[in-house]
Amino acid sequence: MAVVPSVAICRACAYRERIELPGPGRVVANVGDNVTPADAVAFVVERGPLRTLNLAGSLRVEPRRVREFLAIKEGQSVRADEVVAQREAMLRVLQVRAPADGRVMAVGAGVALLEGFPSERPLRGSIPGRVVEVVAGESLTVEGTGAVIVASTMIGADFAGPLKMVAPVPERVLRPEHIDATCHGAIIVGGVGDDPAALRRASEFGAQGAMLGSAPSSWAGMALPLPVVLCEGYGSAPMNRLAFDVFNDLAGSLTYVIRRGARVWVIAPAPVEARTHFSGPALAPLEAGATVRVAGGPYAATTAEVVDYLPSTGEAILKGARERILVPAANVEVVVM
Amino acid sequence: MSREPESMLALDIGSAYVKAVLIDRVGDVHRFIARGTAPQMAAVNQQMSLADPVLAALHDLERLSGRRLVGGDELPIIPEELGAGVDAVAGTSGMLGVLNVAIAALRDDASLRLAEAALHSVPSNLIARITGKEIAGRGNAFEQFAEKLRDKPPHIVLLVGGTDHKPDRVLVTMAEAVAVAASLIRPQDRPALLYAGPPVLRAMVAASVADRMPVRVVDNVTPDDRDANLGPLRAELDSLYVGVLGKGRQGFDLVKRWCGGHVSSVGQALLRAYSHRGLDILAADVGASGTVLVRSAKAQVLIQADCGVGQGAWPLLERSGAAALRCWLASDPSDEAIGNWALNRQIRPWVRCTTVEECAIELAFVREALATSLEAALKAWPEGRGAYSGLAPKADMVVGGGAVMAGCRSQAEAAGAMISGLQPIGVVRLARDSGDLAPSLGALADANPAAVRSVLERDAISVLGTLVAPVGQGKTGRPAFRLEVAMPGGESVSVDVAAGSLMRVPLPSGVVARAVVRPVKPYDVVVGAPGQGLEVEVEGGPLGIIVDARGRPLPDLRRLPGRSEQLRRWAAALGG
Repeated sequence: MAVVPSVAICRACAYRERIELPGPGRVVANVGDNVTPADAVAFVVERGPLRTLNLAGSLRVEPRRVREFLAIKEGQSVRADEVVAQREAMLRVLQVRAPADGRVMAVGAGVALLEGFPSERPLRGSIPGRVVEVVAGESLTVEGTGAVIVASTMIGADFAGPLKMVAPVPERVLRPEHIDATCHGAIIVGGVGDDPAALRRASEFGAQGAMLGSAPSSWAGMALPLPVVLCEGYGSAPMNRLAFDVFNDLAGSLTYVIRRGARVWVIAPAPVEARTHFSGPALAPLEAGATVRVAGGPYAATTAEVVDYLPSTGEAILKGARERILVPAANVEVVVM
Repeated sequence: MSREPESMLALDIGSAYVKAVLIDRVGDVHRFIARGTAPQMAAVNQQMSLADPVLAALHDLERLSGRRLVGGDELPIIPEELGAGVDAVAGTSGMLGVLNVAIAALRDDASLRLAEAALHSVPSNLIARITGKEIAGRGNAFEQFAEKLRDKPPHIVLLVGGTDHKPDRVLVTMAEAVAVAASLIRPQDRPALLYAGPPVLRAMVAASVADRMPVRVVDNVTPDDRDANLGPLRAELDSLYVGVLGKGRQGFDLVKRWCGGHVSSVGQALLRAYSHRGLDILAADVGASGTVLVRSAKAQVLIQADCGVGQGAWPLLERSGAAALRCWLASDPSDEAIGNWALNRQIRPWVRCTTVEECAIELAFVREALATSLEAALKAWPEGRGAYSGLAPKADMVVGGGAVMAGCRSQAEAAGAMISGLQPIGVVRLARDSGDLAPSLGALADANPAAVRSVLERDAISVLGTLVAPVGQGKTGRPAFRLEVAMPGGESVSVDVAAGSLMRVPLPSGVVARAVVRPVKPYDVVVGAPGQGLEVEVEGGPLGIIVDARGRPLPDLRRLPGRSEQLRRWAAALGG
């Protein structure tokens, strides 16, 4: 029995995530609040612009003497044009004034560092669900239930919308003619990416994003008109049948696509009785009877059942829809359904 | 006196896999027993504890070895008792992230370049640098430096400059200025100042910053105008890499406790593994994220980040371009195919190649990673480049390692990758770490050096043969050198080698023969003068003596007429 990655392709799942603030800030969501990725759940401090005041040069003194001539205290806030330091010379008074509002953060080595007043940046992108825990200034935890599918990667930013199937089978290559006005505002779920013209047409019709099996690597360097999720990866592999069927069942459901680390979480919240719990990709034992998805090689995107694991070669015998196949255990992922 | 540990466990926490390696005494010697592995899911899920894949690898090892290693409390059993557990555990990691460093250098001179060179010994990123002159100007340069420190706090600020005989007190002012900039950072996030300047100024530097940031000191990188002294700085950076970056990874403290605190970077582990052999070894380990090169005799380490066959494949492709990768391939895959492979490896670095085309692309990335790392090493290893600058350093042995190298389908493939990627010069033994064990063994090297040497020689390193590769370029087909080999049985072999050719002379494994190489000018067998002969011992192996008269540096493959056919011929000559 080997240990391999697990992947969630789950219709009824309880999911949970702890979101930590990336720096100083405040959590504004409260326990019990229902949140979506579009909501600002916290505000993070953005520090103001920095200016160096050359005190030693302006006052014409040795750097070690500048503290003698400070008109303010280190750490003090000042308004623009306020005198920061001054020295009476023989014929005139030498002054250093603040070039802008801010706070004198540090003085030393002949300089003062003046930092503009901070602003706040909203923090969005939480998973959809209910806030169950808040640690002031540090983190919040969100829980929810619904369908969760973990996709391999994404080109572009997070998006959301109702699912719209545009391919009857996962193997079909997405073409412009598959897109019509019914895609407006939707996440299109197609087959295999090939021609970016299909994305342009989807964008013209107001689609929010696309969910495909795979797409060519050249797309990674393009400015695509729509964000694209690749369930399997790059190349020409179709979307695995399990994920395709779940998306098919969810057609019309509001779905959120959120990048998390090196993976993409696709979540369609719904009040379901959860069969499994999900808090991120994990490890799972490769046991006989487990459902797996092949993640590389000629059988990429095949879903199958584990028949046996051969420790001597590190391979797994899988029972697919048509035949038995032998693949390296390293190339399979246990599906959490 | 404490007894040296008998049974030992090494935890190699890589970017693609976590490996748990068990070695133990078998009869009179230490041998490799088994290895458990688990995919490095912490690389995919940042919220996952590093301890989880480590524990999974340990349980895998228990299944494979039939030996209980983890107790009911989920902690390794130490010391060994009644056949369960091990006497010692140590670890190595190359996936803790990147050490962000800012440098303040007295002048834009040798000390700055040496400090930058030293950073290559750990995965690092230079986020800001400033000179004494810029600090004295108290203007935009200092403002930008301070802003960079504030917005992306480095893990360390390195202060260098001046020689021991000519200490410059400006360094003290610089230290104070750095401390002023660092005071913009929250106290809990503030970096330490690492001073690597003249010892006489240490106390003054420490006093000038003491109330704002912690200070660490190491020996001056430029003790005098001629010599470089990078060893202490490299060792300190390695210690900081594990100490500082480990703190930021969930579960790392636990793993470190399992290892009794003995966790080093993969570069230092590899260096320790190869430093016991009394040989000048140039060893490479091509990993998922980066490639490590070490040169044992000079204790030099280079870590080329974003240069590997997993997460490092796409950055490597972006840097080198598809054409550079394709020139290693006899088949002619499209840019799309190469890009697909690299991006999919970035997504799932643990996946194995299953088709001939995938394996060929993977090997092309190994070659490119080796070539890129060597190029970086030649810049980062300024000490003693000598007459053969721009070429691989002369070594007694070149060892290729990493999971791909260990898993090569043939010895010839492994040798071909090493020869074309590293372009070894002179007469040098070629070997590969066929067990992919060197980093793990290096982690254990301090605990029981003799045991590690035993396992390295018996279970890890397999000598492929001896390479004879003179430096120089000649017209294809013209005489390059004559090779005379006197076999131990009295038989002798003489070969006239033409420029541009690549061939093998059989010499079985374990057999050592006397060889004389008589080069024709301009060829040089790395003895200091073109045309000068060399008498040397050569060791046999599955590939025997590899006679490479293609010259050094190798011809530019991109401009080679009939490249695909030529690559096939060379592969066939090696036996691939």
